[in-house]
Amino acid sequence: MPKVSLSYGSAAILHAVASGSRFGFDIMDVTGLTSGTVYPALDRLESAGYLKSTWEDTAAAHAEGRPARRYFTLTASGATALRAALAKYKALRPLPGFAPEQA
Amino acid sequence: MKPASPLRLALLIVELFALLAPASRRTTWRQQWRADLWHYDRWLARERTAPAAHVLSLLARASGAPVHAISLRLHDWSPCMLVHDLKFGWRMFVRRPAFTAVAVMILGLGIGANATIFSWVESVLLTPLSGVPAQEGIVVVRGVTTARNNLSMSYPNFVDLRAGKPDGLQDVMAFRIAAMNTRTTGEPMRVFGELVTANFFRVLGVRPAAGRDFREDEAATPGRDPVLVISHAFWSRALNADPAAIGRTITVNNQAFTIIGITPPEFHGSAAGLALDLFVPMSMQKTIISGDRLNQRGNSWLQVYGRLLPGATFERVQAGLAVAGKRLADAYPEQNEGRALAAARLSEDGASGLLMPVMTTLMAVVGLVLLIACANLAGLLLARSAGRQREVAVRLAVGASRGRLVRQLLIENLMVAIAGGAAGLILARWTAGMLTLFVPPTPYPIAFGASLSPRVVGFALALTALTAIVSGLLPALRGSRSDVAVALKASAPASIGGGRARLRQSLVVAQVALSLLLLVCAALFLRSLTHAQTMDMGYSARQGFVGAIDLLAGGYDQPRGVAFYQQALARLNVVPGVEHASVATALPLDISAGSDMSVEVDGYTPRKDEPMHVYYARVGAGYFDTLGIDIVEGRGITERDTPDQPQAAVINETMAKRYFQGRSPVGGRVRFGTGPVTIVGVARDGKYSQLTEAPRSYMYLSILQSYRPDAILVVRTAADPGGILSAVQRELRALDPGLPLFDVRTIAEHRQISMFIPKMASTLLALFGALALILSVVGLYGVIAYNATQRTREIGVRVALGAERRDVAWLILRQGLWLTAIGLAVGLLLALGAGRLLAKQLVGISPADPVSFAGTAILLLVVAAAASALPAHRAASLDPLAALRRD
Repeated sequence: MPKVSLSYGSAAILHAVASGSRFGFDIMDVTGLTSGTVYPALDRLESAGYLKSTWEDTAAAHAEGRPARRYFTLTASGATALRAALAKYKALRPLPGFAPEQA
Repeated sequence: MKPASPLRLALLIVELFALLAPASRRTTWRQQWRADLWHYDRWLARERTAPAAHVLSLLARASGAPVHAISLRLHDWSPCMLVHDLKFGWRMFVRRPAFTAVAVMILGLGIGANATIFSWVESVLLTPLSGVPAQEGIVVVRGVTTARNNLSMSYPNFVDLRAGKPDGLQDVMAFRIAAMNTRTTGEPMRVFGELVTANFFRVLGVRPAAGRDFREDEAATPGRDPVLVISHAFWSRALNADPAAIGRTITVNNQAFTIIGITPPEFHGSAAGLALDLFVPMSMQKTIISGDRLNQRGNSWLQVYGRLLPGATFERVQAGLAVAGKRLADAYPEQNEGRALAAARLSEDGASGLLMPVMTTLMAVVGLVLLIACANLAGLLLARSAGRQREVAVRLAVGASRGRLVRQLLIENLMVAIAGGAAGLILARWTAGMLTLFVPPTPYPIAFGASLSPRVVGFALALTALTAIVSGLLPALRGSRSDVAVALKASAPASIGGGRARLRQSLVVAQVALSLLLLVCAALFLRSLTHAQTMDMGYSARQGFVGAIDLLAGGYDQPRGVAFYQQALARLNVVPGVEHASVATALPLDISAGSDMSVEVDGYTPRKDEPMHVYYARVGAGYFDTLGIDIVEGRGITERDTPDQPQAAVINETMAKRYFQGRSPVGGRVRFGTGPVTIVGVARDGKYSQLTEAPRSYMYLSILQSYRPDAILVVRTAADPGGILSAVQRELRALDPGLPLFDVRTIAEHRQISMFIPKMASTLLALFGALALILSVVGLYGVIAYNATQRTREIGVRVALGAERRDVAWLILRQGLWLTAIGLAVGLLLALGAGRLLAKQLVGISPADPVSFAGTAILLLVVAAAASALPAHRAASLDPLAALRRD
């Protein structure tokens, strides 16, 4: 397993994405982090290969009368990183499927 | 003038900083931020956030955009380049210490002012309850009728509300602030505390620092559990921080209470801006507040707070309370008909609601001051970048990219801004506490804990980044655009930079316009204050004093209390030096607004849903003579209005006009719940709650007939009240040695209470206006002086060709006056718009007050002329030969 070390904020963001908060607004809501932390971190995590982002269909969003959202999903290496982070940061709620590996 | 919507303002920030994001990712960046702010705006609207908090939250959210953009930039930026830029920036700093010092000072003042006001906004509006965690989850539950939206609740209604578990709320608690007479070892003391339900601390989320809080059963059986929780401040002040305080007994209103807990030091109770000391369970109501209130459904006297369920929205709570209110109205139509329940934010309640308008104004004002500071600094940077033309050209010529240069210049500016931000925080550290300086002497333990919390520091840091970019971006873009060939030629300073000069001039115009706006606002508030101080408050007494007496705490029942009032007034009215003495339950223009009730007036048929509430006070004999309120018809309340006589009332002119429409109200009858009262007189109108209030209906009842055990003694004296106070206290002690007179203040001091907000607003606005004036005049001077040196050779030629010195001076002066005139024109338009927004806060003057407008415009013009005259004089005294020789 590659050695990854995430900051607590980044770990909280991966945790939020893994628990189903898929775009910036929701992630801020559940993590309580500020906009100036979350958006840069999302880009950093994407370029590190932990997250993948896609824009939702603009037409569909406009039909609902709102701007399109940028959705984030966890990649395989993001899942690995999150698992390691959950083992390290005990304050984060354990997630099914992300149990720390047995030593 | 249509105010910009908060969302549009936030989107503007995004657009402003779009240039910071790398071009390749700019579209994504912009889309993402637009979407985020849109959703957040909707969310805030759904949560019914107070307008000021809505704007601030949205701006705070948008402040993440530049941070994000910079982080994207940094991503493609190698660290060694950054280190190089920092080193270079530092060298530029050290080389121009005067420039750096001025820039740091300008930004320090701007950021310091903003951090200070923000710390106040935070303590008053954002986290009004000191020491209460997660306050955004606390809602105020209020009774609502067609006329009023902030009614209190009776205890039986509260019990039913709580048992009904309104949707969206975890739990609700109730409290009532009360003055209490306490004795620990020595002299009795008057302190303020709260009568609370057992779950008070649990709903607030506060755990005692020592001991425990109330058990559910301790507030259940009336009179059974004399226990209390004390504040940390009371523990250290009154009990000398006794380590064995838990379990100790103290006397409150002549009853022994056992201390079971001590609150954490930062907790001051559940009322914003007050520091309360004792927390007594509801079951002990009779000891703390008169009457047997726990069984009366029609007697509303409690404030109710609820704690949101995790994840519950404000909307959901609103709906849940509507259902609960309907249920109460259906179950007890007699007491609850026409009464609904609604949720409000903490920031709309009490002192926060009172201070909200002035705080919003101040926040806008310091924002403008910072904008002026930024424009000022941008002007300085532009002037400096002119001096660095050649350096920039050389760097471009040897192959530096323009982006690289912009970055370099921005980094330099960021360094200045960081130093400015640090200076601002140091300034704010001691100005944050100045809020308390404006607090008038009142009987209440007022405490605003404004301090540099992490949120305030974060705000200052965000401002620092923002100012660095706002003030630095334009100059950096300009500065990096240099025509290599022209700039490298040795003698061309005057021929280039035309665009830059125009930019600097526009910046000066903007500063003058914004300064005028601020100065006009300051003038409006100052004039309003002067007006308030000389205005007719409706009572003429100026000399004397007031003090509180509490007969309940003194162990009096109603018959003994009535006798006490009669004897005390009879004795005090003959004390030498006393002109008149009386008692009242509420004074005009006191900090608490007084009570009101719904009435019926015989012979008056209200329209459907017409609000019929009047404000009232219970007063003793001679009240109108004591305060100097004219009786325009009939008589005042006298010593003959005793309990065995028909109930008498005096109404004010507004009430007479409204309900009697030309007929004489004397002899008319008013009903409220109990039997009718007969109107015996009409008193002149006055101001009752705020100087800015509209005329309101007011009624005076006899305190002997409509008894209350807590009253304010008012003594009017012919001369300085100092010596007479002790004589009055002697008389009171002769009647009852154990009954102290509390919270004594002079009538002159009382008159200042209603000046609190106008005084605070005008003092601060004048201060910020002066700051803005200085900044913009320095900016103007800089531009004119710089232009004059740029035109040295031209002036030399003109003088050599025979121009008079006067013509030369006028040439330079004219430019300054011209810029000022444009700035004034723009500023006047802005000020007219702003005046309309402030109209509600002004007393007795029009928001387009010509004196304020003309006065400040002339002041600015004179100061600007002086600032331009200096360089004009210097230019006029140039030696033409020396000027021509210069390159």
